[in-house]
Amino acid sequence: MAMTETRPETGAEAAAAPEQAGPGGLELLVGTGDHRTTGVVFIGFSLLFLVVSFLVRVLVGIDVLTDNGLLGAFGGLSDLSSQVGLVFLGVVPLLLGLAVYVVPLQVGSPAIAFPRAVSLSLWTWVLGSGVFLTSAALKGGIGGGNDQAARLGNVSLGVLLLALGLGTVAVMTTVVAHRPFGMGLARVPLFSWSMLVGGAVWLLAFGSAFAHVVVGQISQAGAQDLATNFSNGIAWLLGAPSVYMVAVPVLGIAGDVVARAANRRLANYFVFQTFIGAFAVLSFGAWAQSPVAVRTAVWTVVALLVGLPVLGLLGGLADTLRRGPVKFDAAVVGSLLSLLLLLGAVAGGLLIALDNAGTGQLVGFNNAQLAAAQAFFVVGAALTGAVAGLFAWSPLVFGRPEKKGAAVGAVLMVVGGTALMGTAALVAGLVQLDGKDTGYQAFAVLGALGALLALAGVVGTLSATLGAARSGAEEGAQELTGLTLEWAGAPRPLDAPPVRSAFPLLDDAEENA
Amino acid sequence: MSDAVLELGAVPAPPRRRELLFGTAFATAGVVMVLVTLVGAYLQARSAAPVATWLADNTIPLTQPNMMMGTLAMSAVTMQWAVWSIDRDDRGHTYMALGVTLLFGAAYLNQAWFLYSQVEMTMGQLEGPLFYATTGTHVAMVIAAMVFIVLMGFRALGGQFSSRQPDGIGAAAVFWHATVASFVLVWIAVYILK
Repeated sequence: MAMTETRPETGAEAAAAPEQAGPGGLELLVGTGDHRTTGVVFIGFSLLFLVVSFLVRVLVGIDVLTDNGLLGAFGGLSDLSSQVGLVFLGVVPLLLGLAVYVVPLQVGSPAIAFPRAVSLSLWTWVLGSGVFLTSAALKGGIGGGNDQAARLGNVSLGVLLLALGLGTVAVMTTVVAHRPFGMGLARVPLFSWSMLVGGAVWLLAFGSAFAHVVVGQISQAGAQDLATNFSNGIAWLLGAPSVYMVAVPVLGIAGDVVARAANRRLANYFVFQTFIGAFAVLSFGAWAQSPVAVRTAVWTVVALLVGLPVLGLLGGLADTLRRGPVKFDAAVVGSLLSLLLLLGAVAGGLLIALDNAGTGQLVGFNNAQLAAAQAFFVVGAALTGAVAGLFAWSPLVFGRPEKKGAAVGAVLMVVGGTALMGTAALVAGLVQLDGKDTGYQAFAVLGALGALLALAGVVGTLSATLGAARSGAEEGAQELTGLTLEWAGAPRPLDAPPVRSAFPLLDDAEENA
Repeated sequence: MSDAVLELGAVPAPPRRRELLFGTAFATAGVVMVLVTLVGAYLQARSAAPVATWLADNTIPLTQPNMMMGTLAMSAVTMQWAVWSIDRDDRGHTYMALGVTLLFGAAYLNQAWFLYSQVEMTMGQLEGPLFYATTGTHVAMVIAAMVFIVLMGFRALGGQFSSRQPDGIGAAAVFWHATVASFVLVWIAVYILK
């Protein structure tokens, strides 16, 4: 019988063998399967892209003031491109990044589902965002005049939808499949719950919009046809009711933040979950793709109903807050204000519904402006909620909380800026201004000022989080306190007792007391 | 015999049961939505076209689409056969069922290719982009489903799936069944109703 033996290494040979170099920092960053790293990179890039998108909004406002004298040479830096940028380069990935970091911890899992897919999602999104911005600068983007650049913008939009959809699948799967024993869906923390129900709507909407990207690409359309394809097939993503889906996770963030600040359970937890679920269902807007859908009775009913879950959630949170001492901080203030911004969007929808009820004869508002106002309010709500969530989970992510003054300032600037953008568009819609009026220019400047303020808020958020990360690195992490599993400091052991409520750490604390 | 007590190391965490199944189901929902939207856009464009102009320059035979539908319907049975077999640790039948499903998939692609050659539609026509976007997306779905089956088949060959952990085959089945169901839409909207 033949035997094969491995020759033992001699000491000299072993010493002479070159030592294998470990992966470098970039390799670790790109190839990581750690959801914490991926989440932080998602958050960082989305904040940077938000700065760019708000800057474009400022330029668009100045452009209106100068009768297209500023951006004439950059036709792709349009109103629509900046709105797409705010949503798909900014708030959606910001919320997704936060979810990638926090959701696995909230369900007590040591890892996210499909970590490589999440990494692929991140880097594909970064690449798609870069290509989108490049195409916009080359008179492409959305609505630009250059055929080649517009096609590039169309492709990059498809890439963004695919990338964000992939990350969403991973987060949703984590919520469903990684829960510990005892944590039924009725006991999932509200942010995770909101990512599950909101993610489902995102997936369906992104898939539907992607279909139109495919049609635009297959037909090898020119810039003009691509712009038509966008307004007939994709623009619904930025209008009601679909635009509300962007803000679904904000409802979950508000619930978790308020419960932790009040250090008590949310009474009737399933009602909170129902409100979030109802808001998500109402935000499903793929049925309203046709521009004439806004004139249907169903649209009007949805526009009326969508505010109810927000009001209900706000009432439930107010009830929790009034029951005892609350530690108010930037996170609490931000999450509550984000819900108020959502109500601003609902007001815009009600005005459009009122206008449609009179078939344009009753009041004659400028519905395009009102729809833009809705989008700005929702983007503002989503951004404010995400920033509030970032500040709330800062001790977890960065080891230390942000400095209170800086955090509150950043939240107020984001709220004030986006509220100004929304209000300017809302009032312009009410007084029926169009692009030729001097008043229209004045409102465009107000919108630009709002964008500038929001931009300052995003920069303030970046600065505050970097400061927290620095102090976390220098002083070490502080002790974590909270009600849900992410604050346990470590993944839940497999032999841990079953979860008995939506607030397992509070259960443990009460039992030990 | 040594008296040394053997200490068991840390038991590796078992793979999360149903993770792949749920992930596939979620992704499938998004993919199906792409196709549903394309079919909707196709129907809308057809209803908006002037009367008797839609597909006036082309002849779409029904033989191939019907056979394609029949082929996919049979493949749904064989795919479920694979799921049934792996649930009972019957590996031989699992591999055979996956193989037959792949064969049906290849037959579908062959018929689709032949159908395209018969229809002779160009992208310059009004119907062209939406026709190819709708039917082509479904062809892409079938190809993706076949790749999925091949990958899961290799993992089954490697012993990763059994009655205790049948998720991979189940996940491939979820996507395959969704692909078959989607073709019902395409078959009726594009080929039957014309």
